[in-house]
Formats: sequence, structure tokens, C-alpha cells
Amino acid sequence: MTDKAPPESRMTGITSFSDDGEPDYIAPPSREVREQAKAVGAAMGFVSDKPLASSSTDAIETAPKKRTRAPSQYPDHYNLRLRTGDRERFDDYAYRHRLPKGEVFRIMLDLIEEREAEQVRAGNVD
Amino acid sequence: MSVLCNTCNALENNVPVITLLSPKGGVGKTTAALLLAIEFAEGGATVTIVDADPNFPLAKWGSMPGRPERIEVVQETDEDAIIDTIDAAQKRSRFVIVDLEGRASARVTNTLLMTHLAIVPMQGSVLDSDQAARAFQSIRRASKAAQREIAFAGVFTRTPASDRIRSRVAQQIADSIQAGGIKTLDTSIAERTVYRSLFAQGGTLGDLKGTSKTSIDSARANAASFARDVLEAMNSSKAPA
Repeated sequence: MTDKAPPESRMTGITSFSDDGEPDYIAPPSREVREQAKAVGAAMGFVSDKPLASSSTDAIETAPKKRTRAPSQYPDHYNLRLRTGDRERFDDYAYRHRLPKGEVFRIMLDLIEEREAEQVRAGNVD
Repeated sequence: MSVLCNTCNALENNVPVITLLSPKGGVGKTTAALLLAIEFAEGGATVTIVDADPNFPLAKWGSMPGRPERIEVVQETDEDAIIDTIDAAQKRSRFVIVDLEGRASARVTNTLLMTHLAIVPMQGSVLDSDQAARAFQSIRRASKAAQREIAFAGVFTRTPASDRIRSRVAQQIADSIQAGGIKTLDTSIAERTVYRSLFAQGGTLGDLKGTSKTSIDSARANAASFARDVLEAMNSSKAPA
């Protein structure tokens, strides 16, 4: 067993900045100290510029949700069947009557509704 | 050789990290940092300036001709990497001076963990004193987290060149700080055109062109006195209670 030799005494004429004789080196703080300081600082508004690291709970929360079928906003009561020349006739009708195509479509739907109502009255329903 | 040489020698083998901080911008942090660096360098010490302001005003100064060889400027704005940057700097220079941006951020907190002496520049206004109080509070909290004493002091900046002129508000703020037991440096950094010229021309006060000798002499005396106060503040922080 050996005793450590006492540290060399400093020259008395030189003022010591570190009175304990040790150099004033500051070692980088541990992760715990950094996190504690950061938390304390954040409470005072000294917040981090970096986005929060994703934790496992975040991963669960951000997992893609299973898609559910959304209820249709426009139920398909009407089945439209396009036949050859229908589009041309539709465009021609709108042009000849100087109507917007939306208006032509509304007229078409009204006619279909009227026809279905007639079928219901006649008891000719699927 | 500067009168600071003797004091610098007294700090041999120790690498003080001096941080200038304030959550408010425009209070004179960067000017104070540069004056300190120049004074220490002219006193014969090597200095690393860590420019942690995203606008990099000191890096810009460092890129201009006339930068003393003893002064090195490094840029660092990453709040985590700044710890390692300061650590590396204190291994190669006698003084490390960190200039932070005028904003409350985690960068301030992390820098304080690596700081020996924190200096809070402030002007004599209520707005400034509110933010200075916040800075002092953040230093105290960082001291607790670091489990060691971080020395700190306030310094009045952008004051009239004459020490005898001080507004009533500024005087009341100074009294309030003193009553709060917070140390303020005796020397105030005056509002001087030559300090602004440093950032326009680069180099040191002695190199400035187109400025009267009287103005430069006054500015140099002010800067030297400020640097002496900073060294004294460091020494007194180490003195036994």
C-alpha cells in the first residue's frame, strides 16, 4: 500500500483563481443534469428549439388508424346508365336551350323522380 | 502590454468560461463579448469566442481583417452540441467567451451548465430590468441543477459616456438590483460610436480608422476597466467566504 504524494504547493507569489488548487475545468454535465436543467429552464420559458423525441407512446398514438367506411353523403338512389350518344345529346340539349349543364342535370333528375313516382303509384316497384 | 496581464497570469492554468446572456435582444451582449475578447487578447491571453447567436455577428467580425491571432471565433447554435463546443474550447484557450442570442432558449440553459461567470448586460429601462431579473433567475436555477455555484453579475450597458449622468429610472433599477443582493460591475459600457465601428471595420479599437484619438482612448479605457471588473468578479467568486 502506498500513500499518495502530497500535491506540489503553488508558488506563493501567484494568485490562485481556484483556491482549492484544482483547475477550474468544467466537465460536460451528465445526461441527468442536462435533462433536469432543461426541465427547470423550460418551466421558466427557456424552451428547446428541437422537436420532442418520439417515445413509444407517441408511436402508438401516431400509428395509422384503421379506415372505416364513411357513410355516403349522396346515396345512390339513381342508377344512370350511359349509352352511346348520351353525352352528345346532353351537351346538345344544354347548347340548344342555352342552359347551364347543371340546370340540364337538375331537369333530368326531376324527370327521373317524376317517372319513379309514377311507377310507385302504379305499384310497379322493385 | 495591457494592464490586464497580471490578472490574466493569475488565472493561468484555469480556463474561465464567461457567458453573456439576456433574454432581451439589443442590450449589448455582443459588444461586451467582443470588448472582453479584445482586452484579454491584448493582455496576452488566447481567447475562443463561441458565437451562439444565429445571426453570427462575432463570426462576421472575425472574418474581417484585423482579428488578433489570439482570438478564435467558432459558431455554434445547436443547443446540445454547444456543451461539447465549449468543452473543446476550454481545452485550447485560456478564456472562453460565449455570446448568446437575446432570447430565452434551452441553449441558454445548457451554456450555463458550462459557465464559470455569467454576465447579464442591461440598459437602464424597466423592460431590460424585467428580462435581466429573468436571466438572474435562470442562472440560479442552473446552479441548482449543476450542483455548483455559477458566479454572475450584471453590467449596465449603452449608458451615457459620462458616469455622472444617470436617469432616475436607471438609478432606481440599480438600487433595486443592489437591494436584491445582485452584484453589478462598477464599470458601465457606454454607448459609443467606436464600438459600432468595430463591427463595421473589424479589428480592434486601436485599429479603427476615421475616428478621433480621444474617442478611441476613452473607449479603450472603458473596455479595459470593464475587463478588469470581470476578472475581479471571477476572482471574488473564488475567494473564500
